Amino acid sequence: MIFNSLDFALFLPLVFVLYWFVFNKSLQRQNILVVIASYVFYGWWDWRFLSLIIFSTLVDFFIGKQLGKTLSSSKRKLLLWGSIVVNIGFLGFFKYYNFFVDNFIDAFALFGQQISPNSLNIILPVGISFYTFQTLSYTIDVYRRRLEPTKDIVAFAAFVSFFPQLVAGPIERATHLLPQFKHKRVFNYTKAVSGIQLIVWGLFKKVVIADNCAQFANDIFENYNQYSTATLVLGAVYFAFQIYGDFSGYSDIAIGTSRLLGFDLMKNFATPYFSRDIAEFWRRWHISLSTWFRDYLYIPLGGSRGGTFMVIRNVFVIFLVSGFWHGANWTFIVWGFLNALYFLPLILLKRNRVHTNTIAENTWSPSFREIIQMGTTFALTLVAWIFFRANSVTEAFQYIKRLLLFELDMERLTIERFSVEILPLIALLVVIEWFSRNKEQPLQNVKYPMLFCCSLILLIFMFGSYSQLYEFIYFQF
Amino acid sequence: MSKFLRYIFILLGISLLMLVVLDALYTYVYTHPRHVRNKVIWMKEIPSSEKFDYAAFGSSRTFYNLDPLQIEKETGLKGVNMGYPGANTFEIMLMVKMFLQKFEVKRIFIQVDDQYNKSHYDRTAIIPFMPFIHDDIIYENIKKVETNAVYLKYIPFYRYMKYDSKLGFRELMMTSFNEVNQFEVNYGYAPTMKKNMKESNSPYKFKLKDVKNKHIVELLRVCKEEQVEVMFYTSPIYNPEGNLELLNTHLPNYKDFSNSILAHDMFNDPYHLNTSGTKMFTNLFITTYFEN
Repeated sequence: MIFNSLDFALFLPLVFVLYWFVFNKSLQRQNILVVIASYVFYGWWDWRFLSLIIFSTLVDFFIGKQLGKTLSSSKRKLLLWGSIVVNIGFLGFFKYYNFFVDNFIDAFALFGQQISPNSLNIILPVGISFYTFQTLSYTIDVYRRRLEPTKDIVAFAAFVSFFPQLVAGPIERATHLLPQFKHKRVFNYTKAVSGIQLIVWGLFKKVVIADNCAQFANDIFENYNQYSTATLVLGAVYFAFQIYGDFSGYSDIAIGTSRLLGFDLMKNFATPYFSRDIAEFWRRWHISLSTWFRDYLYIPLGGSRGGTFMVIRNVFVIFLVSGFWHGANWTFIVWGFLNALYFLPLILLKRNRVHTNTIAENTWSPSFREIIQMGTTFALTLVAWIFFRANSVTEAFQYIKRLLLFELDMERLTIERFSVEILPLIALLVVIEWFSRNKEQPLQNVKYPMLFCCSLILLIFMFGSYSQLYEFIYFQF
Repeated sequence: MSKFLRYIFILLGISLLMLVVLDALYTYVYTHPRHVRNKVIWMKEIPSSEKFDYAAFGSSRTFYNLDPLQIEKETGLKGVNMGYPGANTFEIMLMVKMFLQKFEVKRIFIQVDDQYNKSHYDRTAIIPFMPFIHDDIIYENIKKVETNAVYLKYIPFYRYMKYDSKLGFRELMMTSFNEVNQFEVNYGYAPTMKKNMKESNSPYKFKLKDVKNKHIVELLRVCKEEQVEVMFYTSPIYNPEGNLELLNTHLPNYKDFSNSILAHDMFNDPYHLNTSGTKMFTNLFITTYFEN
């Protein structure tokens, strides 16, 4: 089930009513409802893959319990590795099997050896990368004794499968979300209204910005060899806003939906395109994944301790793994590598933690220097997005090569079936985000929230893209 | 909770009101244009007393490729070009039905090509019909191919949202500001293709499936009932590579013009003639159909 569908528009009110009016007598009942609703939500896509989630849940629940009982450090380590092998094993099989087989064949072909191991027709279970990381966070935190293992399997199943963030995050930590399933939720008007506002804002970003940009970006990236520099730049810009609108829109709807049920999820995006350097960008983009890698990979590898070489090595490891996490394609690995390269000068000059505050914090407009910094950072991310979006690394290089021809025809702006309405809408998004960069969400503390909300709904009706139902990009990861 | 439910009901109420108002506004603008913006409304605006010797239906390959004024000048026969961009066989069938309901005509021409196998309508080409979905003839036909037809008819604004509400918005703006459409004064032909295509070796490839098209069958049934002669044809294509001969088995009176014009400078793009190409093709059309 996807958020921008009629199915979800009926599903959510039904769950809301059952949750607050029928199952509200006890916490256990509410949690059971969350588990059932989450399984229905996931099974709507393909019920067969529910077995994977249930299996993962059971494995980590029992390993967590054993970790709580066991004092021997070798046994504890063994249990932890058991969880890692099972979870990463599933992820590896479903997501990376064919990638490794294909590359294995290619590598042998380089030496003139023809081998033909079988590629399998594997369906990638939606959201597997997200819930795998979420359950792993539980086992690792229990292993590190940062979290008491839970004895409540219903609460744990609800934590693993919580439908608002099940298939595309935010990737929650057990330390943050699991305790919320153990305390009675009390309906809070302010929280619920902010949830509705976030859902509307997320829908605006998804159906108005992302899905409209997708039409242009898809066309330009698929036919890049016919277009000139100006159109190819536009293609990259459209994709940048498509992926931002799509993913941050999903996160907003997820957070908003959770608030309706009395939960708090972590913020996943904080106006990343206003970043002044790439380090700041990564503190503001897909925060739940960046911090996951920081806590469970970067710091165990030594983090920023040790010498400059160690830090550089760790940064490259993080970004390469992050690229690989996004998909079984060299394009994602190059994308990760490129981001690590961008980091390099910041690390060497020890300037990777310069911009920890919000841009133009006490004024309404950025300084000239900040505009240049933002523009440079955005341009760097655009180059990286080309690799992220292209079908292959070769295509990405060809795209960039054509882009460097410096032809200025704007042919994509004048084609009959495509229109320029999207550019003012992107500008509107940028303006709204700029003025809400210090807020938790754009509709917070505005003078007429109902008017603002209704205006967004009007834009969703008038400019939303409904003719093709685009799935959220991050579902494939 | 009651305060929140009140908030939700107000929000839903305003949303519903917006949908109703938008639906009424879009429908009004579509149906009361300052200048007609599409062929469906144009057909509705032409007085039923108007007499035509023939009518041509099809996609942009009729819209841009056939000039009824030139035919009238050279043969004295008055005709109308009802083709419009994106139209598949469904839209063509629907246009023919609406046309025959309003006008008397002895002969019609239907342009077919690689859209022959498409059984559903085009998501852009169907938009001009949406303001009139409450017309029985339109609703009944849409219902046959679209399972959500009932929602399109009864949920306010859904008919515009589903097929890209931005297009509706653009129509809204264009209707308010735009000048007379060229096809209004040219019996339906739009002389806007002025580019000369570059020479190219890459063929325009297509492969038709050997199946009957239900909309063409329906169109033939209606024409038989109304005693209208139907001629099918394929408009010129630059460097085509396909199996159009297959259409001979499914279409009566079929003529393939796909290879009739070879020069690249007669085309705007591989699929559309430019104004010089249109002049040449219209001449060929006259020789084939009107000189005997």
